[in-house]
Amino acid sequence: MRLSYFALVVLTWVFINACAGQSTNKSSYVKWTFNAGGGVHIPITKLKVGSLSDELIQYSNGGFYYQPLLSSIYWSEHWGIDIIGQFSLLQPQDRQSDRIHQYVLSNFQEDYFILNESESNRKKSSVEKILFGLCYRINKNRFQTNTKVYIGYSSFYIDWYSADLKEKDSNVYRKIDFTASERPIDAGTIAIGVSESYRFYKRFSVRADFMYAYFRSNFSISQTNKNLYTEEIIEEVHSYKRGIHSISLGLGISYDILIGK
Amino acid sequence: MKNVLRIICLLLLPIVIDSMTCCDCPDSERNQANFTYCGIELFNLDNSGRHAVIAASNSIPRAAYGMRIKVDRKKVERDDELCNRGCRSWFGTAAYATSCDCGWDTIYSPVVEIRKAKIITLNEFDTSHSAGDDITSYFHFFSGRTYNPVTDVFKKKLEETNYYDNEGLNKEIDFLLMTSPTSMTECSFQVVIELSDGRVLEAITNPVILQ
Repeated sequence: MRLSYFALVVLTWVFINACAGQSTNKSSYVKWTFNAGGGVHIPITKLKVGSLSDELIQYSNGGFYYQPLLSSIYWSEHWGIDIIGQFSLLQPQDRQSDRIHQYVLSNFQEDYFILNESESNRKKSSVEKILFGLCYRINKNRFQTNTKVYIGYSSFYIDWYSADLKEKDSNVYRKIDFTASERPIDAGTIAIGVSESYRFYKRFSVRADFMYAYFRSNFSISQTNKNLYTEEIIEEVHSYKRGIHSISLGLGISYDILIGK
Repeated sequence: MKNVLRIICLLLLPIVIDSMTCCDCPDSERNQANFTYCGIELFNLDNSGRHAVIAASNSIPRAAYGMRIKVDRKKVERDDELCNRGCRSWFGTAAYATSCDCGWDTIYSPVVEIRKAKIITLNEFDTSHSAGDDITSYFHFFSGRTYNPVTDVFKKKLEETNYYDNEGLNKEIDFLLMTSPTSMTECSFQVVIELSDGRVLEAITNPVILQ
């Protein structure tokens, strides 16, 4: 996720919270909830489809996420808005540089020597989600049920790769590059979710979350093969348009701030 | 407290002065020497593998032929006042003074210029180039990223001035044949370098079959 998006959402959120704080004298229902937690992503459709893009997408289909930021504010007994920031962790076995190396070996080894390869550019985190939404809650004794609808961004990284090749039995050297049309890939996301929380001590609650999310990725990976002598470039563009559906299950702890009650 | 600080500053003053004055490096202009070109040697290169190697046989794939030019350069004069001067300590013994690290050793410059460099085929190379013709444009130097023409590389590689003393003055340059003959042929090439002092350096490769 580009930092500017994140900053914009956070600033908006701070502004809304500040406005809510000023109106506390008028309402006895205003309430903040802060939540931290984590969980697991379960893909319904997978990002990886068995093509070249698989070698460069820095994201495993499933995996764990952590959610350091979730804050809700309610302007009535039932209605409120909230913001979520989710970050997924790369799976340790996802070594893209090895896989792209294998891809290059299998496609070029017969006719070329592979002289140098670039380092992997991947980041430590992969998919990031920033969601902003409307929520409806129902309180019953110590239990609270929350239903939510979100919009926001999902973002993930595509690795870059380049290698220097030399043709066998020839003085011709080549350079191949794999680059994504954009980096990171940002995709508009919609999501719905429900959470159930139980207040176990004063303002502290445990909370279970379920969320379904959808985003449509639309990017391309360009594979260029340049003859360094003639400067002729052979380019292949691999288009990637795919709707990604996923669900996530998570657990967390909430802290409630009551204002004006 | 102020007096204590003053005493500490006074005690540290000689060390500061020492460290500022002990290095007496000569100017880089004084660390110069000259070299000239004394001769060249040629080797046939086989670049059919991962890296170019001096050909072990007299038969090389014609698309992978190259030649290595070894240029013998000799130093003709030198300012011996090099950087290894001891430090002059004002307040202590020189043995304890800070050592100097003056960076550059000696900068070498050529006393003669390369006026012209060319590669000549000694056999009929193709339909448009017979024995004795200049085929310099058929060879290129590969830097790792780009191919450069022979004439540019000769001047740039051989006349560049900044050499560390321990690098040695002899220079090797590999040129790759980028336009190969259309059919198998036996070839031999001559490199001619004309210098500004009137001398001409020449060498001929061993005959090789470009198959």
